[in-house]
Amino acid sequence: MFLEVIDVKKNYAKTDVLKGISFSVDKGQNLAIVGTSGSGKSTLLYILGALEHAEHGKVVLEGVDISNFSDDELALFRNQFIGFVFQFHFLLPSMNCLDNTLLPAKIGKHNIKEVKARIIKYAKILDVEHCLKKYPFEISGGEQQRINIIRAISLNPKLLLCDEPTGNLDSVNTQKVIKLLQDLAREINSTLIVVTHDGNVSDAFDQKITIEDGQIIS
Amino acid sequence: MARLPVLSLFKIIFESRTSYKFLVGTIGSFAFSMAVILCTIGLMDGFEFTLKKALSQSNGDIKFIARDGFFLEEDSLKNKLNTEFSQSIAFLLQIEAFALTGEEGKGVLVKGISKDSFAEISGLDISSLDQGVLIGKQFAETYQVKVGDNIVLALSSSKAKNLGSAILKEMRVDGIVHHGIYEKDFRFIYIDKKQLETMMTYREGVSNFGMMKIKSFENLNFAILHYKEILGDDFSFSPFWSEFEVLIEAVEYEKVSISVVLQLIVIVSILNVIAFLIYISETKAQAFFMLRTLGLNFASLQRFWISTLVGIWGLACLFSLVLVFVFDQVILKLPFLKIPGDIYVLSDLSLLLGKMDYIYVFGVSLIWIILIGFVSLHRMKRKPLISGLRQEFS
Repeated sequence: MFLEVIDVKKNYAKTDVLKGISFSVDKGQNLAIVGTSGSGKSTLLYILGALEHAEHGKVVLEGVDISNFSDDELALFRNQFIGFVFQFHFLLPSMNCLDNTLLPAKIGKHNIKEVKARIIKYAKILDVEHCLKKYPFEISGGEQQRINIIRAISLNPKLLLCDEPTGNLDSVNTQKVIKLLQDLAREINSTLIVVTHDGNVSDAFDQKITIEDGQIIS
Repeated sequence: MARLPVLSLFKIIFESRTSYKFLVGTIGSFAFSMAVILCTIGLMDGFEFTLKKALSQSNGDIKFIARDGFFLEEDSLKNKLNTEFSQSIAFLLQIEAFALTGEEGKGVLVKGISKDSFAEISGLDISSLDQGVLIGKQFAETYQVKVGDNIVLALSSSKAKNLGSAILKEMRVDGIVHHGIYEKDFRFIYIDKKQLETMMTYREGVSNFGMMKIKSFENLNFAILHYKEILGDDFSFSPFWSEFEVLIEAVEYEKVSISVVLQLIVIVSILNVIAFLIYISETKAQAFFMLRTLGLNFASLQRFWISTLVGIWGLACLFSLVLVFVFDQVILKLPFLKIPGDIYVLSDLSLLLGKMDYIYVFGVSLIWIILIGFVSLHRMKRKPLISGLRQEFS
């Protein structure tokens, strides 16, 4: 099993946000986590992405339990294994798009030349090569989202996590982005997990879990 | 371990002109605050040091006067003074007089000296003294008297036959002496002691002032006690700075009180640094949270943060040294900013800063900086990554 989530619990300000979540995903599969706003789906994604600690339970990736990692170990883990695609693009306005996409490589001291070549390749695939020298504020929202995706996959992460990646898109573009993410995940042999409130989006995934009030209901 | 070099982080955080301007302003104000403190301490230390040095040059280590006024350079007296403490002794004859230059006159103290013994004790350059006089630097500047010019000394005579009239002597200026004390540079005139005795028709060896250099300065108080014990009935002994003792003591107290007041300046500069940190934290929070999300560990961020603050501190220290140097030159060179000698006693006042002064000022400010750095880091660490991201990018 590639990813195992075992009885994960989390609370904020004495409110139980996750009440014992357990599921597993095989390598290369894609999974949709569906739920309404406030259901705890994003919190679960952040725990999987090592951005948050779970108060209880385990997150095991390729046999390694990351639940007890220190902050520094989690930082390294995020850099080496995880790619994030956020609903809001989270691109740094002070850097051009190429530098934004190179940030994970620079932080992890990867081979910049190799990563840069990969970024240009992905930019051609996603038709945003012309945006690389531009700043985020100089390109459209759709282009920003694709740059965001390139940054997420620039290091060929084993786990690609997406938080409402189609939250701002119409239905046509939503389908396009979902297909694009699935194709890219397949191309880099990555396991894709997408959080969404849109039930229609989840139909396109191998696996789907629905969360309500911090619990898996289906 | 995932880490981004400090320099790369620096480029990301300080990419905008506004950040750089704020950074430069912070360094400038921090440097200025430290320079103000250093200059104040330097002025007070410089005042004390220069005053003591200048007094030592005119009085030796110990000065003594006879209770009856005049005394004779007798072997018996010399034998009593030549103890294990003394290195050399000089006997002087001092007469109050008027020095006349053209149509102007100035009350002066004519000091009859024995060239060799006086030079050894005072350290003053009096080698040019021949048959004329040596005048002080301030006197020369005020009355525009040069070496080779003549001045007239009007000496009062104590002889009954001369009562009511002055002894007028035209003397050539052999040289100009610089004591470092305004009043002494203005009022002291040196002449060969034997020549003065002759002019005043005094007995050979008559003196009214004595100077002594001792072998070990640390024994100054012991030496004074010793001489008071053996010659206390006839002579009065005092350390070289005694005439300015109250002033020196006042400066010491002033130094302590001003140091306390100056802490306000430190606080103002620290507030500037805090404002800078708040500005960076607020405007660059996006970058901090994004970088951490992408795998930058907190240790790297901490390293960057502390390096930046220590860098600010280091640059501010260097800049403050430049400001201190400039201030030192300004008070020495620019006439309109020169410290008035008649107020500050000294002809020239320059800053004197020792290692401890720098350690005190720079050390305290470094402690402040590190403290602020860790407090701000702690606040940053407490905020969960994801809430930071959501807040900053929403």
